[in-house]
Amino acid sequence: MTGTTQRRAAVRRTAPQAGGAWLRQHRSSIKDAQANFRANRGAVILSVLVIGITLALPLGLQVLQTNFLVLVGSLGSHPHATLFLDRDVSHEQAQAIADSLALDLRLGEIKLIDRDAALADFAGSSGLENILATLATNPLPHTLVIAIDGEHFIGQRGDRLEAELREIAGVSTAKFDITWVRRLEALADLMSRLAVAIAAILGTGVVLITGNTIRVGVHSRRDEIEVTKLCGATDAFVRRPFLYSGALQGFGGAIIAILFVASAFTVLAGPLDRLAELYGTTMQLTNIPGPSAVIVLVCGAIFGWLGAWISVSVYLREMEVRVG
Amino acid sequence: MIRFDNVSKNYGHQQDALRNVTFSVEQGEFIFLTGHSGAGKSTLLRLVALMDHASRGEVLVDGRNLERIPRREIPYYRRRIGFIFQEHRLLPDRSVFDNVALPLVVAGHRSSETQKRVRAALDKVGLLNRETASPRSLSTGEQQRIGIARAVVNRPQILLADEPTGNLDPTLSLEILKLFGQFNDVGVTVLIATHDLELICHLHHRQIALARGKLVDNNALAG
Repeated sequence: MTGTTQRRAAVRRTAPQAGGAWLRQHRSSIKDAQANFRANRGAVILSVLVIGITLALPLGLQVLQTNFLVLVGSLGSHPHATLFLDRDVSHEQAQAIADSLALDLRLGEIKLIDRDAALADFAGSSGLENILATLATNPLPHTLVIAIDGEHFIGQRGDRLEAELREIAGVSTAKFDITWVRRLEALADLMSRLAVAIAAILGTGVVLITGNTIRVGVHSRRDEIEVTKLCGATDAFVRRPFLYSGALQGFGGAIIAILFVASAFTVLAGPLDRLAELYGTTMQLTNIPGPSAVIVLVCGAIFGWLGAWISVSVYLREMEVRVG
Repeated sequence: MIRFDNVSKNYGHQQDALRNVTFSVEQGEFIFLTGHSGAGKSTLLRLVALMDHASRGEVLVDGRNLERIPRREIPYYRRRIGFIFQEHRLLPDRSVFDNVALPLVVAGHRSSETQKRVRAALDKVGLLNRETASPRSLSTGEQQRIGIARAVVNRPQILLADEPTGNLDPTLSLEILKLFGQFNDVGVTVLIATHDLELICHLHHRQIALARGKLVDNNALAG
C-alpha cells in the first residue's frame, strides 16, 4: 500500500562487517560463558571435580606404565646375553671382542669365561672329571656373558641389538635371557592398551558429565535462548557460550586430574625409594611427563567441548519443533 | 509483502488453529488481527515469524515461500522481523541496555553502532534514562516499551506484536499503540494481535478478524 522509496530507505538495514562481527560475537560468547559459570557455579565446580577424578585414572595408569619398566628393572636383575665364540677364537681374540663391546653404551658388565676354566668348572660341578679327562681337546668355546639394560631389550631396539650381537665376527651362537623381558614387555603393552581403553571409556564419561552439566545450564536459560533465536541468533551463536563453558570445564577437570596424580605420585615416591633401598638399588621414577600433561589438558578441553556441543545441539533440535 | 494462501495449521488431534486462511498485507500497512482467545491470532503471527510451520497452504513474505527457507537462513530472515510479546520476555539478569542491544549483538554490530542504535530506540520509547536499570525494577508499561525498543532496534521491516497491551491500562495501551503508529509511519509493516476491540477503535487501521481459526473479515477498518 505505501511502498514509497522514502519508506523503503527507512527500513533498509546495514549489514555488519563479517570478520569484525565474528570477533564481536565471540567476545559476547565469552561474556555469556562467564555469566553461565556465575549462574551455575556450584554445579560447574562439582562437574570439574568429577571430570578431574575421571581423567585421573587413565592418567595415573599412563604414569604407572611409564614407570613400570624402571620399577621392575630396579628391583630385579638385568637381562643377559650369552655369546658363544667360535672354537678357533683364542683367549686374546675373545678379550679383544669383549673390550670392543665394552665401548657400547647399551651394554653393561661383560664377563669373559675362559673355555679351560669353564671345562674345569663343569668337570667339578658334574662329577665327570674322568670322562672329560679322556677328551683330546676342550670342546667348549670361550664365552662372553653380557648384562644389558632392560630398556634396550624392549621391542625393536631389542631385536636390533640381538641381530648386531649375532653378527659380530667370531660369535658362533648368541643366546638371550629374554623370556622374562618379553613377558615384561607384554605386560607393559597390556597396561598401555588398558590405559587407552580406560581413557576411551572415561573420556566418554567426561563427555556425558559435561553434557549433563551443560544441559542443566541450557534448560535454566531456555527462555533466553528462545528470545535470542527470535532475535535472529544462529544455532552457532546460541551454542558458542556453552561450548566455551564445556571446554573450560574439561580443561579445569584435566588440571585437577594432573594435580591428583602428581600428588599421589609425590606421596608414593618416598615409600618406593625405601623399598628400592631394601633391594639395594635406587629408582629414578618419572612424574607426569610433559607431553602427557599437555595431551590430558587438550583431551579434557575437547571432551568438554564435545559434551557441550552434543547437549546444546540436542536441545536446539528439540526446540526447533517449538520455535522453528 | 505478506501473503497467506489457504493456510491451515493444526496441532495433533486438537481442532485446527487456522483453517484455510487467505489474505495479504502490503508493505507499510498497519493491521490489527482481532478475535477472541483461541481464534488463531498468535498462531498466525508465529507462522510469519517462522516459529511454526503451516500444516497446509503457503505463507509468503516478499514473494518467498517461508516453507522453502533453508533452516540455516531462518535466523537471517528473523532479523528482518521484530517480535513483541504480551509477557515482554525480557532477560531479567541483564540491564535494559543489554536487553535492547540483543538483536544487534546477535547480528554482530560494532559496539559504537550498537550504543547509538540502542540509545535511539530507548529515546524513541521514552526510556533513555533507564538504560542501566534491571528489567525487574521497571513497571509493566516500561517493560513493554523496552520490549518494543528491542523489537525495533534492528530496524525490522515487519513488526509483529502479540497482545502487546494485554497487561496495560487503557491509557498506557493507547500510548503503546501510538508508538507502533510512529514506526509504521517510517515504513515498517505492523501486525498487532489483540482482542481489545475498544482500544483499536481509537485508531483507523485495517482489521483482519479471526474466529475459531477461520478468517471472518479481511478488510474492515477499525474504528
